[in-house]
Amino acid sequence: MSEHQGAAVSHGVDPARIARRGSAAGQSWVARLLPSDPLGWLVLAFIVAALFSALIYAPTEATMGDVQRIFYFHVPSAWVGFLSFGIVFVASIQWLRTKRPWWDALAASAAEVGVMFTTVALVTGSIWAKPTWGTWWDWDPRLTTTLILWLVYVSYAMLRSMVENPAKRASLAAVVGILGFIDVPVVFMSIRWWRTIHPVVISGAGMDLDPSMVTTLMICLTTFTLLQLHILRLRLHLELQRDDARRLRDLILED
Amino acid sequence: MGGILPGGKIDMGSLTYLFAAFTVIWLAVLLYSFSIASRQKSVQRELEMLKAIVEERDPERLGG
Amino acid sequence: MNSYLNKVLAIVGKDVTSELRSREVISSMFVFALLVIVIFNFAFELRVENKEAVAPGVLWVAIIFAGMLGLNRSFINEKDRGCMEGLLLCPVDRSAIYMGKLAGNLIFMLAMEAIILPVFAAFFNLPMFTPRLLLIVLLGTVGFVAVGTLFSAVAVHTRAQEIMLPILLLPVTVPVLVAAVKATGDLLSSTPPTTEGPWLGVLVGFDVIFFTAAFLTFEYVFQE
Repeated sequence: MSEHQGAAVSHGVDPARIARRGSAAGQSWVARLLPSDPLGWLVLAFIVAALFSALIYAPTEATMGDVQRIFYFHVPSAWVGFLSFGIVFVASIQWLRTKRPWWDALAASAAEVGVMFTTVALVTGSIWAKPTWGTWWDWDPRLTTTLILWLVYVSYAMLRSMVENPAKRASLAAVVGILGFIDVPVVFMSIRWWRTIHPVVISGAGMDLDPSMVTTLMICLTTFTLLQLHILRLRLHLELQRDDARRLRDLILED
Repeated sequence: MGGILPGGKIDMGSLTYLFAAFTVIWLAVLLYSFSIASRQKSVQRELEMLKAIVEERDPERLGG
Repeated sequence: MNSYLNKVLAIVGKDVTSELRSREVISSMFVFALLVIVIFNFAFELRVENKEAVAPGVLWVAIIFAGMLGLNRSFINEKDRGCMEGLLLCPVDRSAIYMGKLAGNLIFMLAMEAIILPVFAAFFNLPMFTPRLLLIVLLGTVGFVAVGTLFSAVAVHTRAQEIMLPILLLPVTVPVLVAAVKATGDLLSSTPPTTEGPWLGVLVGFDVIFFTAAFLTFEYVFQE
């Protein structure tokens, strides 16, 4: 009789995880929206602090005016995008080493979260570029590397969607994740050299930074990092539950 | 450098850009969170259904 | 050590002999590269004045796109003909497969380049056969094939094999493209830059880093 139990556990299904949050199904949509734990409330608080510091506390920049405030959200978005890919890198290595499914779930989650933030970074960078440099896009090292990173993420996601077998999918994705991450600094350096050898009219950020701006940037960086961790946790939970559902389905189909 | 008037200041029209950028960020975060939440709901439903099927076939609970 | 080398040589030998018989890979790669050059002529209205600026880019786009054709076929053919299982059953380190495939792909690409470079030189009326330039071509090809062999093995396991290879390969090989085009441009230019660029170093660095990474991770592509 406990053969099913044993089978379920040996399939990797965690009974506790399925039982947990079963009560969430009954909550109203408002209740589900509000943070359910300390980290969530911390993120909310930091978001308010970030908005205040970026929009009110920070002084208006000398040459660019108020448009420069985009910087306080554009840079952290890009940073979070890179951080997420770093997580994909570590998770990929760990999956190949230990073959524990949790690592692959983490890689998949971090990749999706990373695409989101990198897209935001590219779009906001573009929006900032237009009034500042007069063009929507510039092939400067940072923006271009972010674009390449975005492309690697997307190719990673496409690869994942094209492989049926979960273990195979995890291993193939891990290989791409590892090489993709190593590639990012190489891309950055080569494009940096590409630009400095042939200097172009549009130069770098060229802002006058005073201390309060640095503080604001730090606050916003922290905010986005916390936000990313929070979202990543939610996404990871979703991914793990999906894995459980799949294993349960396999278990049922076996009978 | 386009967009910057001779004096160094930017005309107020550029606040539109600021608004656009902020909207992009927070919309993206919100929509993505909603996406996770709704996917969560459907996986939850599926899990409960699957759990019910397994329990139905086997009097012993799934160990939960 | 001996059996490792034997296996590598066996793989290379198999690929090369089958190619010598049919000649389909190299000829299709060459024709495609040629077509790319011709199309670019119309796309960019290449004239004598601007050819120096555009030529390196045209050359390397042609090489890379033709190269992907060849890479695609390296593992797809195996799968189609059912040779994969045979390869995998041999009791040698999986990396031997990588080395063998890498060598084969490299030989094919270099053969294609040997034919396309003179054609390119004729079309653009540029001196292509200096040792430095050939070195650049070699290093760029090695880097491209190092990553490409790995990624074509990855792509072969997916539903849309032929589309996945370019999508995976192109972003990662951007440094190769940048360095190769820049280096080629500097070498072909009638006004060479005063300071030599770091491109050779970039190519060597890329080749070393990514060959190592690909070599180490190849075995995971075929694990069960």
